[in-house]
Amino acid sequence: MKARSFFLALALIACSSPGSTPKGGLAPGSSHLELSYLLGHDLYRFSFQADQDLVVARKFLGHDQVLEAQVDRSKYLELLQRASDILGKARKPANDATCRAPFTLSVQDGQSRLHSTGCRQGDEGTGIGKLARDAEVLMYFKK
Amino acid sequence: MAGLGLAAHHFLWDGRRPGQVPPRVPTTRSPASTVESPQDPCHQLYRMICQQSGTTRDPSGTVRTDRDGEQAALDAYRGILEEHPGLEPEQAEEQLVDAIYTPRRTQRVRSAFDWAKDQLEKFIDRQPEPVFSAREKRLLKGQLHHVELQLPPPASNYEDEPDLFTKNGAYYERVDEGRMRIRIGGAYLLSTDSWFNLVFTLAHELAHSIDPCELRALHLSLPAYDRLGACLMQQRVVELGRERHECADNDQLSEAFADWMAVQVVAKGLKHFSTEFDRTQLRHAVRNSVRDLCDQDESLEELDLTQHPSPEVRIEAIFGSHPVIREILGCPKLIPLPGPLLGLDRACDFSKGMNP
Ligand SMILES: [Zn+2]
Repeated sequence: MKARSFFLALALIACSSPGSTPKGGLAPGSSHLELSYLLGHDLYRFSFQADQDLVVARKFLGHDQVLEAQVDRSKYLELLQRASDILGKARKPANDATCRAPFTLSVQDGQSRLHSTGCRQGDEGTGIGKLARDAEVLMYFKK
Repeated sequence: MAGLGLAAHHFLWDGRRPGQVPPRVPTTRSPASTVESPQDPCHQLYRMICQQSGTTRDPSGTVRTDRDGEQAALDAYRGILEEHPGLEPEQAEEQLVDAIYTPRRTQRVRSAFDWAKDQLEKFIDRQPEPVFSAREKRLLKGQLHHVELQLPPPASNYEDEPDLFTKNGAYYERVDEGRMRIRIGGAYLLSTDSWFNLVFTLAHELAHSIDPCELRALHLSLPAYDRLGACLMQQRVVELGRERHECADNDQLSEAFADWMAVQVVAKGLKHFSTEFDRTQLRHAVRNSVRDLCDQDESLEELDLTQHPSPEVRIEAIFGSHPVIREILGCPKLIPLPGPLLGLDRACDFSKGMNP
């Protein structure tokens, strides 16, 4: 199937629900990281909102928020850097490529905003799986 | 059981070799945690299967919700990190994998995978010559044969997707030309040990290797697939959007096909046990076969983000229309209607719509 509509819809859910990327620029010291992806019949979303020293992480399954936690700022900043690195190399699948596991990733740091979409499957270089793992570990275990 | 032969014993839920004695199944009614549903399965199959929340049990095992499975996986992860606070994620994952993908669980999954693959091949072989030519059968079975079930340990088998250890996903993917694999999230192993659910899930994923969109990607098309697809569309199992393009954006054909094939497989298993289980046990096995379809995230449907037909359609129209499932549930046969209504009341198959 063409992957385009997946990404539009993923972007839609990422921008229309709690914890989503703020519109416009952020104040200095503020940042936002968001990763959404589809796996089987579940839609996952990890969102981090940093405002000076306070970093709040949220995990959503579909519409439902399943976790909200304050997390360690320095570890969050490491994650943010890794996400930014991934954004530099994330590849969008061709329009006619079959995509069973699409993702969207966005980072907003002060005035700069990066956003990308891609496909996890068969694309072992994206690092999305590891980023998702580290986001989850940070939320649950390294507050 | 006639028709299943030795292979039937291969679907033992504890990974025993074919030919060994099947495990003892409870002869009493199932535990009280699974309450008999008052719904009429012939008219309210979706409600019968999905109305009960929490754990559902059949004689082979249980199915818990996706969230229960994920919570159990996260709890296991937490336990490891609390016990060994200095571990790097990769080291913690090795321990997590050892805790989740135990020999017993992985053997059970491999056994269900082998059985489902064998049954899919037999189903293809049983189709008469006008449905599939010998060449087409070889091609389909060749595709199935090349699908690898990729399971940890070691954890490095999922090195690129370590988040899978705490997720429910079980999914098929074509990695590159000729290489196909199925991966299973750790949370699924913790949420499900019902043999019937394992078989349905693995048969569904295996069927993706021969679904119409996979074949199309290989520049192949089969007339029998066109007939089945036309029937699924005629019966509104596959939704006809205003601008439906086969295998294009959010098209439901490949998912409906994978469900339809999986039903052929799990119906064989249910039929086999229909003489060994009592009526209640059999209904629980029916329910657990497709219990996890109830969990489909509603937001995906709202956003039109899924290629899956709705859970109601998957359960009522695809699963519930199979003659064996209907027989097991004590429902009347679907009767073919004549003339212009031909086929509307009969389950779809590869030969439907063929000239006699
Ligand atoms: Zn599928």
